[in-house]
Amino acid sequence: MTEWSNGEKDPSVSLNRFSRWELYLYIAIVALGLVALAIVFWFPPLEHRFYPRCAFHDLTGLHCPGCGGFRAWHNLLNGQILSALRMNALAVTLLPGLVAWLFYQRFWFHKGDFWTLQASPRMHLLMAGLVIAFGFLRNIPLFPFNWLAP
Amino acid sequence: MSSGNNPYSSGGNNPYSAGAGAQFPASGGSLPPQGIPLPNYLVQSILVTLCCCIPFGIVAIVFASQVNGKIAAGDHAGAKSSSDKAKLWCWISFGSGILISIISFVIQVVAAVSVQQPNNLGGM
Repeated sequence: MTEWSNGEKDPSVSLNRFSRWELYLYIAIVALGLVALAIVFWFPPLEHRFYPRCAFHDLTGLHCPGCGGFRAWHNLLNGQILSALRMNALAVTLLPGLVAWLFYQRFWFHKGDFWTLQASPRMHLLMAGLVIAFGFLRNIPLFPFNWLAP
Repeated sequence: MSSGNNPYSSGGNNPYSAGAGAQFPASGGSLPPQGIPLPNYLVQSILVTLCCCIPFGIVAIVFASQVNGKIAAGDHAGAKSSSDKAKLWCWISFGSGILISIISFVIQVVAAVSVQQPNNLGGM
């Protein structure tokens, strides 16, 4: 049987030794991220129609875990942190955290696959539960929970 | 999503190749035995859930969150199975998200054109 591993230190992977294609991947991620942030910063999502609409929200009327994400990032980039958290608290905290952790583990931990989080199983369950619970709780139309909905 | 490139292709050290555990004989016994890194797709499934707004992403998250726990418990076949299912549901979410976005875009364009030219509908 194949032995799988995760989170073990791999001395063959280091900052000085990554391939040309891996470098292109990182440049592409950073460039696309900056372009997306610039678009969201300059164009308010409520006033422009080119942003993709949430089909799940259109069909069911419920809020998916990503609903309000563009508005939240627009508010955050324009310095309105509280209204950003009000729109989509998960999108403005978890996404930058994930990206930061991916690059951190790649360049300072020197650990395996770029896209695979090297964290404990408990941390993985916690993150999965966070996203799922956020998706459920923001659809409860009562006081503490309706602050999670956009 | 990361299948298009192999981050391990530098320097000829490829953990995906056979005999990955025998790569570092000079390191002595201090290193743990090197298995093959198993992608758990948690990042990808969170991204498709947040960006594609599709309930299928939740399925991918559930499978992805099982992978490292099963590795820790020694259930390597189960971990591989969960990893494969997470990958499958990530692609299902991504594909259906793209598809629904295109359909919804077409519907909006048609609706906008219809509003601009009411005679097209009024003549029915």
